[in-house]
Amino acid sequence: MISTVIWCLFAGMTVMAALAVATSKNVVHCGFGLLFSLLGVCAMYVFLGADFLAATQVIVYVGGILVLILFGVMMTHRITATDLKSELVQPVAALIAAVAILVLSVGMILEQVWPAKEHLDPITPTTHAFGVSFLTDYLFPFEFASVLLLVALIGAAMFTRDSAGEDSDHV
Amino acid sequence: MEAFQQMLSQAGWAQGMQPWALSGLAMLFAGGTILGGVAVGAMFFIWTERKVAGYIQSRYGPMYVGHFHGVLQSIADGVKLLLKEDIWPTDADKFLFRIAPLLVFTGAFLSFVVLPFGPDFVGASLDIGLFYAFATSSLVVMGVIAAGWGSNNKWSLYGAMRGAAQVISYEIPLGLAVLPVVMSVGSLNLGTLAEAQRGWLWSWHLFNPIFFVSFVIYLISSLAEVNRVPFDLPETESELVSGYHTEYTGMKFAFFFLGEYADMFVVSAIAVSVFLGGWYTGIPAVDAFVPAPLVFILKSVFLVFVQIWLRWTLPRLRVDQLMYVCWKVFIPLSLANLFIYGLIRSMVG
Repeated sequence: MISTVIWCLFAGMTVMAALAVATSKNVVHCGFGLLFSLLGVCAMYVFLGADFLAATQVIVYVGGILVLILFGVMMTHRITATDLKSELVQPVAALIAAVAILVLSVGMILEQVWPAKEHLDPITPTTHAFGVSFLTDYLFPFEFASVLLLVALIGAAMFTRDSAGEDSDHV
Repeated sequence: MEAFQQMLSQAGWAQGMQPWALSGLAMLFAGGTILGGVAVGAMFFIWTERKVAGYIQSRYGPMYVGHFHGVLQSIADGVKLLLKEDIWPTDADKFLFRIAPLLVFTGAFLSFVVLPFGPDFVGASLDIGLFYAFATSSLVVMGVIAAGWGSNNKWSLYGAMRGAAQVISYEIPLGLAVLPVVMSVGSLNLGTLAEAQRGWLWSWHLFNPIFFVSFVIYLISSLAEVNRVPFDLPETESELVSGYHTEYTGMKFAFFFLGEYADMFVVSAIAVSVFLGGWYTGIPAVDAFVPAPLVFILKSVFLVFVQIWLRWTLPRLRVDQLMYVCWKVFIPLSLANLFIYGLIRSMVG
């Protein structure tokens, strides 16, 4: 009863915030819309009993990616002076793409057998299962992702350097 | 939560009540207790800060309100802030300017849910407690950014950028520092981490050489995480007026302040439960009759005192020094610490 009401509140928040991201003309407002949308998704994970995933969602998407996006926006000169265009361009193609994505995702949702439990009253710890599967079944994707991130890190450090061999002190 | 539900049913209130209403009431009780504790605790810390600052600088600090050493000064200030005019900068971004103090305070307040004040005194004993506490600090970062951008003031924006850069950088050594302890106990639950330190003083994690390194890294990084001196670059009165909350007045400003002091308590309480024995006194015989929450709160308040003491003792770092310390000293050090601990564990078994 109570959890249904709370679930509806969070679901509404997720959808409304996502709408705000799509329609807002101010890019900073889009960023903050994304914040509430991501938090709503995090709440959905909590309702599904995926505690670790929920916290990771907040740490990675809110604490990392969203902050970086807003950083980029704020570093850009006179960013609010330019209005975001939200008019219709090529409505037919957009409609086809949107419907195709909708059909695909709904089809997948219906086809997939979800390993859901009937009753999720005490949230069972998921960290142990995560750790085991990362280091056994999914070791290759895990390592691959970490190497990819390392490459991105080194690349970013290379690009921001003034010139090779010279330590810059502009901070 | 469960303790509250039991208390309610023992008090006889719960008769004929629906289970959902009972759990809702218990949630309200737990939330209200935490909220009251945060507000009163933060006022106490503000008073402590002013008194400690005074004595360190050979003056008295507040002396008049409440007769005894100005104990009621914070309440008087609270009333003053309530009555103040709510000033909006002309070109402020109305929406962001309004939600920023709420985000900062909510981020700090949410972490209290997982703090284990005692074996039974915990809002929600989450299995990912430690991870959850770090996740909620992301909300504080968003609040700081919203404040800096919404104020439409270049000092605020600089402060917010510095604050966000600092908090997301120092989250890394903060998380890496506690990992050896998590590996040893095998849990992210703050209550379980504290429970693992039961017994004599030397069973505290602080007295293990590897965990001691972790503790030092954690303590220094947590100062940066809550924007305290020597890492108070987002506020720097001398260059940025007062950083991201320059434009805030009245209760909005008070929310930033409450959030900051609540955050100080949170990082201290996490340090207490991970490294300093949680609610255990270190002498098993004493543990039997000393109330657990009292021990836990006293230890946390001591760490808050250490933060205040450092603030009035140390000078401020420069931005480049701040980043240097984080990326070139703490992260390699905490990674090495983690690696060495893993090596020892896998060899000893």
